[in-house]
Amino acid sequence: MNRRRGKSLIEVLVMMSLFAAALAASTTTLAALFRIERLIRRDIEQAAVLDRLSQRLRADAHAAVSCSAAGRCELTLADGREIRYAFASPVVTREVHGGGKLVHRDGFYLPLGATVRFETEPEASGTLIRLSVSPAEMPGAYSPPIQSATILSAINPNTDSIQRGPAR
Amino acid sequence: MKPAQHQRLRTKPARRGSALVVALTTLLIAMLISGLVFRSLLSVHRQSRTSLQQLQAHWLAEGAAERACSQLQASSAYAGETWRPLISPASGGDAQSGVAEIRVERPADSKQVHVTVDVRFPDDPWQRASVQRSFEFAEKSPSSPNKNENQSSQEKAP
Repeated sequence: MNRRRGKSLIEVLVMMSLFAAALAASTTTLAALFRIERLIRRDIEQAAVLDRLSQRLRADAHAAVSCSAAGRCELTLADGREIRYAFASPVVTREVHGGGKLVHRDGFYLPLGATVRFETEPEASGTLIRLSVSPAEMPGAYSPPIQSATILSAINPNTDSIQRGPAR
Repeated sequence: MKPAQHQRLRTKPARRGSALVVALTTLLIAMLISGLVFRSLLSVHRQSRTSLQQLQAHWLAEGAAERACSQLQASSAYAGETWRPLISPASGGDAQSGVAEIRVERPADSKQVHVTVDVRFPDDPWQRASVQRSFEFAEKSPSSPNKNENQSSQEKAP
C-alpha cells in the first residue's frame, strides 16, 4: 500500500495564504483599536481640562471688574490684582499677579492640534468674555481634529439678583 | 499487508486536516472577540463625543443665563430672545451653532422674574444635547441675596 506522508505543495500554499490573511486582518484590527483608544483618551482629557478651565474662567470673570482680550485675556479684580490667561500651544496658563509680583500660576494642557482664542463681546449692560478652542490648521495630520468648544461668561454680573436653589 | 500493520490502520482514525480545522476555529473566535472589542470601543468613542456636546450645551446655558441677567439689568422690558452664539468652526471650516431660547415670565403678584433657558447644541434635529436652566431674578432689587429658592437644571442626552 502506497501511503502518502507529509503535505503537498498545494496544502502548504493554502495554509500560508490563510495565515497571511488572518495576520493582515488582526494587524489592521489592532491598529484601528489602538487609534480609537488614543482618540477616546484625547477626548476625555480634553473634556476634563476644559471643564476645569471653564470653572476657573467663569469664577475669575465674575470677580473681575474689567477685562481686555487682545491675544491674551487680562482680568482686573476689585482689589487690584490681575489675572492673565494666555495660550502657548498646548497650554493655557493662568497667572495671578498682585503688587507687581506673580502670585500663582495654573496650567491647562489641551490636546496637540488645539488653538485658543480670547475675545470680548459688548452686551447691553456689561461684557461677555468668549474663550474659543478650535482645531489648528495641521496639513498632513493623520489623526482627526479635536472637537471645537466655546466658553462664554459675563464680566462682573450682578449675581445677587439671581435666586438660586437646589437642582431638581 | 502484515496483520500488525492492518490492525494499526483500523484502530487509528483519519486525522488529515484536523489541525487546519482547529487553527481556523481559533482564528474565527479571535476575530469575533476583536470585532466585539472594536464595536464597544467605537461606542465609547461616540459616547465621549456626546459628553463633550453635553458639556458645551451646559456652558452655553451658563452663558445664556448670564446674558439674560445682563439684559434684564439693562432693560426691565426684556422679554427673552432666541440667542444663536457661534461656536468655533469645526473641522472642514463649518461653524457649529447652538441655540439658546431665553424665556422671561413676569408673574403679576411678584417682583421676581422667572427666567428659563433652553439650550440645544448643536442645532441639529437628530444629534444634539439639550440643557434647561431656570431661575428667579429679582428685578431692581439687588439687595435680596436669598440664594436658595428656585433654580433647576436638567440635562438631556441626545
